[in-house]
Amino acid sequence: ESTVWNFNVWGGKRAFTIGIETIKKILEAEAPGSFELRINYGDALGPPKKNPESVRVNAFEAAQFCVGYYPNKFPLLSVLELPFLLPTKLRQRANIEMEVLAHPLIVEEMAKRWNIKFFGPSFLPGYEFMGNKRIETVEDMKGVKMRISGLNATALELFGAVPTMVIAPEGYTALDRGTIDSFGFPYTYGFGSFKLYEVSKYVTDGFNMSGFMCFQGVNIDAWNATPEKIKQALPTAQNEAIDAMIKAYKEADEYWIPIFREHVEIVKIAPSERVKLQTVSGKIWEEWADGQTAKGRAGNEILDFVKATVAKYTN
Amino acid sequence: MDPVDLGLLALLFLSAALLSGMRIAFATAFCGFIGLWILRGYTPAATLASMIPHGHLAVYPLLVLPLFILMGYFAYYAGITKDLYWTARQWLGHLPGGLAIATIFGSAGFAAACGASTASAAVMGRIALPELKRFGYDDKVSAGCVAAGGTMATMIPPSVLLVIYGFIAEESIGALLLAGFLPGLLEAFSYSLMLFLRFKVNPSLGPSMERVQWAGRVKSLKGVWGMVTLVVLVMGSIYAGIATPTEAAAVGAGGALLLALPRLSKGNFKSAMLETARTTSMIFAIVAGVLIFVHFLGFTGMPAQLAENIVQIDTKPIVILVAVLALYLVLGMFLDGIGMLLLTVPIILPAIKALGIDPIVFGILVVRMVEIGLITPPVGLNVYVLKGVAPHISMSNIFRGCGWFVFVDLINVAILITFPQIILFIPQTMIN
Amino acid sequence: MTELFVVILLTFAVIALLALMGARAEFLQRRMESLLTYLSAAIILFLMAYVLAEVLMRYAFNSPLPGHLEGAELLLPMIVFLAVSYTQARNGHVGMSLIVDLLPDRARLLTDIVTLILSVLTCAVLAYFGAKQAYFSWQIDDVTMTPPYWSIWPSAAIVPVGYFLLSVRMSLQALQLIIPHRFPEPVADDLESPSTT
Ligand code: NA
Ligand code: NA
Repeated sequence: ESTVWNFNVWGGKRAFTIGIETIKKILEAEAPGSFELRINYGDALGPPKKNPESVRVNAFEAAQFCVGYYPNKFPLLSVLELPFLLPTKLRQRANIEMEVLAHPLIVEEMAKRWNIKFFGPSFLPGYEFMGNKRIETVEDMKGVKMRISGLNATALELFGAVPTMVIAPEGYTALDRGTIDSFGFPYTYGFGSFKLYEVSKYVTDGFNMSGFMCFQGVNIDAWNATPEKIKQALPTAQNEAIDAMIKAYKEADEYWIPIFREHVEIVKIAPSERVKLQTVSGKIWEEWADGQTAKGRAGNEILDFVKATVAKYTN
Repeated sequence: MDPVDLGLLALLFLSAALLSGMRIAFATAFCGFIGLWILRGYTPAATLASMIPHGHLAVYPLLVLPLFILMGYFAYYAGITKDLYWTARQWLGHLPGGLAIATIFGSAGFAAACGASTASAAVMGRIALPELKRFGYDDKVSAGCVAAGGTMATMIPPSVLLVIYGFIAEESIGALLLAGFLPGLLEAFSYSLMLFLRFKVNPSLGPSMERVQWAGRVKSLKGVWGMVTLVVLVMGSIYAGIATPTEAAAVGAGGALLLALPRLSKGNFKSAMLETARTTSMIFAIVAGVLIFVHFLGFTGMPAQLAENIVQIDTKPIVILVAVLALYLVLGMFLDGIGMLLLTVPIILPAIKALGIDPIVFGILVVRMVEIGLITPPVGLNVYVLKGVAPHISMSNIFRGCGWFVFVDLINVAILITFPQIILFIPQTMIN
Repeated sequence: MTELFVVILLTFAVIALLALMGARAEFLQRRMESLLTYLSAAIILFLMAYVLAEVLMRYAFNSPLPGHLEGAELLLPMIVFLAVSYTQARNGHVGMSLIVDLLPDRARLLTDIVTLILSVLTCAVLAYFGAKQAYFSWQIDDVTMTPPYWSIWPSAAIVPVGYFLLSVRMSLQALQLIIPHRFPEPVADDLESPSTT
């Protein structure tokens, strides 16, 4: 009898989904014929924002999640979306993420409320801004309509930016016609796939803002019923997935950056500017932790843990 | 049972439920839920099914739908539709089948103020059908004109379906909307040519109007100013960077309300609002139901299997494209457009891109096929809507009346495949 | 599976109650439908104004409304499900009568009753589980992406309300076919628009 997992993911095959494709390949090779991971693209199985609810009742066994879509569904895990908390290097971020996801408080949050277990990485590269206002220093953001959501919006607002939401497919027209000035996206492939460089003059390089915290999760009952071989192979598969994702994002950069160069000026953001953003964001982190604590959750504890882990990997 | 077989069986079952008169919104939800139940168990199925309506309806791109519908109704009560129809009659009425041809061009004009085919069919049905009947036009032809003419609202911008395609395919919605303009005009002209020829061959289908002098025709042009105002408002607000394409729908609805105000009685205002609520509710109840069914099909893997089989055929891309479009023709007989796009585009688009076919061209072609699906039995949304407006014409007669238009549609698709420049010309010129 | 029996039991209890109430149930349901549809229409107007306000605030004052996009999103299910039962009452939900029109009277009556009951059960399942989901959404304080973090549950709760009223409406329609003497054909009320026939 073969174990089959149905996996729900929105959008098509892309760098973002290389992680799950890698895990699928490794695990299926581990137990040929007795384990199948069916990846359903284009949210074929259910509405993407209800993935946690669906996996909870085992409507499908596993899915992709992004905390940013529903910050209160994974309140403690949303720590990883705090503005400028994570370092700039993708590899470091991946390592920190893996440690946070293994933290007992996070494991409990997933298990208790959602009956979900972390299954595989699905991180995004750092966010940058592309558009028609030149942003080089934090002062340049004053009065600029920047498309960004969540607490990142709150952080940039402190420097006078005007956070504005438009949906991604409208980004092209909105930039082209000047409805908004600048569009925040994971660098580079977000800008590339929506062709925003065609209607922009500048793109930043150095914000390296952490945005959505995304991951793959599986229903715990489904996990428990999985062949032992698969369970043992998972850590290796996860590491391979991290490597594959970092490689895929690097390849995307190598593909898109020369194309961007033809259309837009790549404006370097000095590390000192990022430090300013980070310093001011400290207030937002504390507010976040206090807010969690007020609701009876260990906000301060998890924030301190993340800070310590960041320090461990960056020093 | 093999899940793919279960999917096919469910389609048969759904067809049976629909044929027995069960409302689409509930038949699809029912069959989808039972299918999910078989595959996943009762509680997971019920939980998933119950989350699908809110999960898929609370999304921004769909907001344009009530707003476009509202704009359409206000435009209707502002007399814009009537004025357009009047102008079209002055110019085209004297041709063989003149009133029918004027209906097509009236619909094409109204399509510039209305983004949903069903809304266009409902509104034009109310205006044009009584006139066509008064002049003794054949019921089937009249109904076909309005039902098929309504589909132009989906091709000529604004268009709900193109917005949805852009949303799924992650393509520029602005470019897609612009791309629909010329294919929409092509549709209007080829419908008219077909009607011209049919009435020429068989004048008993309906009389020509009296020829109007040129002075009269030019004077009648004042009837288009309302429509032009709305187009300028909507396109202008996007072009000037004042509003995003979605927001422009609110600008259009607000503009239409202003245009309508001088003539708008309290009763008509109430009607416009209630009918918008009702039409929105009707369409979205179907979307919710179909998506329950569509997600069930997703579990069976049937659609993915079908798409895969078609794309893997070792032959020329054009042959595969035609095969894919043929698949859409079949699916369009049963499924509603939004559900069909949601189900198939993410699966099939990567293959289409791999074949070197432009995603914007593909989008227009697919939406063109969806339009055809609106007027083919057994599930033809435009026909159902028209039936609501014209209880005196039987459903089967409306479907029969659409036959010739489907034929013209297929020729249209062939032309667009042969000359994709028709699709790409405007977006390429406007954006670069 | 126990929940399945609960849903079926509740559904038939409601149907029995409606049968007992007779014409009065029809009257109450109609009042409720009218009220909620006016609310739906009001939300449509509000939506238009809300989007226009966002456009104005952003373009003229460079100060877009916080959380506008998500706030607007949440209005859509409300618009749809507040009016869904009203739409059914006025035969606004589309279906195919091609084949059933050809059936003899008694067979047609039977088909109509069966399809109505199946629809009632479907909507009852969606109402029951939708309500559970809305309650869960309230419990975990599910919110939107961006400050001011709108609560999701009010919007999610309208969906089961809509499906519940739909199942009541279709139960009434089935009862009208089964025991017509207790349910006189409903009369058109003031909501009926002049341009529809
Ligand atoms: Na249109
Ligand atoms: Na059809």
